Amino acid sequence: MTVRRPTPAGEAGRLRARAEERLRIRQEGTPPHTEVDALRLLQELQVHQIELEIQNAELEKTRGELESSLARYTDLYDFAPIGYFTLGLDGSVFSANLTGADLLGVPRARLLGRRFGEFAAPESRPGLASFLARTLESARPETCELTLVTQGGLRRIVRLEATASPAGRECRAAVLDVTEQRAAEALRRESEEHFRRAIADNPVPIMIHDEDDRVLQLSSGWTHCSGYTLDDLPTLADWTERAYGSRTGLEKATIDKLFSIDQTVRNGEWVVTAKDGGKRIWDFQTTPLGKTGAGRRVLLSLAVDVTERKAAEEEVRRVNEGLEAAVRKRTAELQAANSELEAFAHSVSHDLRAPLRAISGFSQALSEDCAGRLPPTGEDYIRRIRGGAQRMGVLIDDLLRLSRTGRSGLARTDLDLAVPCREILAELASGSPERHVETVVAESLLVHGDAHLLRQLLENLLGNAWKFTAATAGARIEVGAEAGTDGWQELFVRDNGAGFDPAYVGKLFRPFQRLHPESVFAGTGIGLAIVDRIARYHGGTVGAEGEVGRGATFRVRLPAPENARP
Amino acid sequence: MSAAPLLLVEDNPDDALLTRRALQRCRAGCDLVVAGTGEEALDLLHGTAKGGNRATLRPDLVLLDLQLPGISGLEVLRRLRANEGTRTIPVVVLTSSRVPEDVTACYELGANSYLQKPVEFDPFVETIEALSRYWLRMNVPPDR
Repeated sequence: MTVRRPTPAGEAGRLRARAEERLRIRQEGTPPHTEVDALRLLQELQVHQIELEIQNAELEKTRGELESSLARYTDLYDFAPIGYFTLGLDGSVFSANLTGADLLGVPRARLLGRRFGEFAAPESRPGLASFLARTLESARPETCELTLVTQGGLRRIVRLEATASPAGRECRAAVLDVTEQRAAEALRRESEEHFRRAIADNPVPIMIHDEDDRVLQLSSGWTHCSGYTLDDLPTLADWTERAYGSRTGLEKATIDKLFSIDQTVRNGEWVVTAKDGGKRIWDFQTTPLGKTGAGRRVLLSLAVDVTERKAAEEEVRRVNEGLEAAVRKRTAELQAANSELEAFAHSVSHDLRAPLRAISGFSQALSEDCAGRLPPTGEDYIRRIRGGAQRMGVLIDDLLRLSRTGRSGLARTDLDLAVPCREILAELASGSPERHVETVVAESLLVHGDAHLLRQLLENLLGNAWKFTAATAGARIEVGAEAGTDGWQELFVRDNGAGFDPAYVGKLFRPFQRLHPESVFAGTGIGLAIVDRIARYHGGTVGAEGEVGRGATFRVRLPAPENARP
Repeated sequence: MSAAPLLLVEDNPDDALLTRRALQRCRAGCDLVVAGTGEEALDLLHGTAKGGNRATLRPDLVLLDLQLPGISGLEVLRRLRANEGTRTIPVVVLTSSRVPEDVTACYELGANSYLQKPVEFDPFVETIEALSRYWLRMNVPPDR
């Protein structure tokens, strides 16, 4: 029974042909088999054929797997995140993966055969050469770091790990681009250096310490203010011992509490002993800085040296106390002087008036009891004695009025002085019904002051205006206000009466100074002194303009109402 | 001696004489007893005078000067008002001082009136006249 199989082409076909030839040679030398033998042989052959078929299928499968594995390997090799190179003894590139070629900025096809050292930065070339030599002699992987310059001119920092092949004729190198990592590290180092210097050069006392009691850093301010260096204070316990004379207070609970803060806390003022034994007052605050790489908590303790400030405050307090004592003493002296003045005024009021009453009363008694027995000149003298006594009585009363003006303090409110002005002018008019005086009062005269005292001021000014226009035909009294500035109101009282000689304006506001003979205009000369005093009590001023026979204008500067201030 | 004199408490003899003269001028027509000190006035009113006369004086009116040697006029007033026997006697304070504090104190202690002695004699006479007219003729206290 012949099994017809399609003749396979190529290698398999030749293999078949050789197998059939061998079978024919073997059969020629062997005696013919029996029928039974022939049947068994056929059976055997068929089995064998099936076995071969199975084996063939398995081989096909294995080959497929091998191809797929090769594809995976190529993929892994070429696209690995690391560059792979196989370098010869002279450093020429035998093979490279795609990542490696990319790293050098050269297409892979053009890379093969070139020296790897061509891509090393000039300063890295000697290092690379010695590294390759070392690697080829060594049985172990060797590593180094160098700078490469790509075809495009970019500098890359790479980490090279290389192993020599067992025969020592080539080496395989893995190249990792660490440019960004190194840049980040440099940045971090720079930032750490900034921080370190910010602390180190800080004029404020700053200590950085961790929960293992270690002092990590001290600022120059710390050393400057206390004298201690980092060598003096390796641990916080050393600090507490030297500054406070005690290592206690550093039990675990205390440290836990200290290190558990999550924001800046004030620790208050502490007296610390400096290295030279001097005492400083430090106002502490502590800020958590997070953890070290080892997971230990770190604190920043900052102190403000308030020693000088405290001393200055103490000095200020001492000076203030001295000032207060001086003020108290001065106040007491002033009060004593005031009491004396008051006693004097009381005495003037009481004791000086009694003799006046005697003079006046007994001269009248003399005049009455001796009526008809005195010559006319005698009667005249008695009248003059009584007149003198009377004027002195008025002087005493005015003097007292002046001394008591405003003594009880000012009760300030916003006022419209136009109202009292009209009242006073009406009173003056009713007291002299025979007179015809034209009075003009502004609609409102708003000021801020003491109603009682300002009424007294107006009574004096209007009384004067009334008095000094007595002999004036077409008498006119005007009260008004002129545009006040920066919180002040300027009132004026103007009359067209007797006026005064401007040469003597300085005398007007002094007590008992008169510019007119008493025989013409009665008065003691106290009224304007009171006006001046009341204006000054309000922080204001008075002024006057006038000319003999042409009237006078008195000006008073007073605080404007509170709601009208700028 | 009429039943109800006037008591003048006045240390200044000139003022005492002028007051007597003013009273005569306005014909108040009553006796005037003058006490030169507050103590003397209180002795007269409370019957505590040393010597023979221990009778109490019951004047129609007391004219009281404030500034006195020894106890002050205000103290005399306070003691008069504190004593049951003299509590209702009208007291007119008559002084040359017109210090507002004194005026207030007088009224607070129960003075019935307060008059300032003027320098001039005629106004003084007018004052005394008005005073006596009111206190001696029109305003007789209820327990009399």
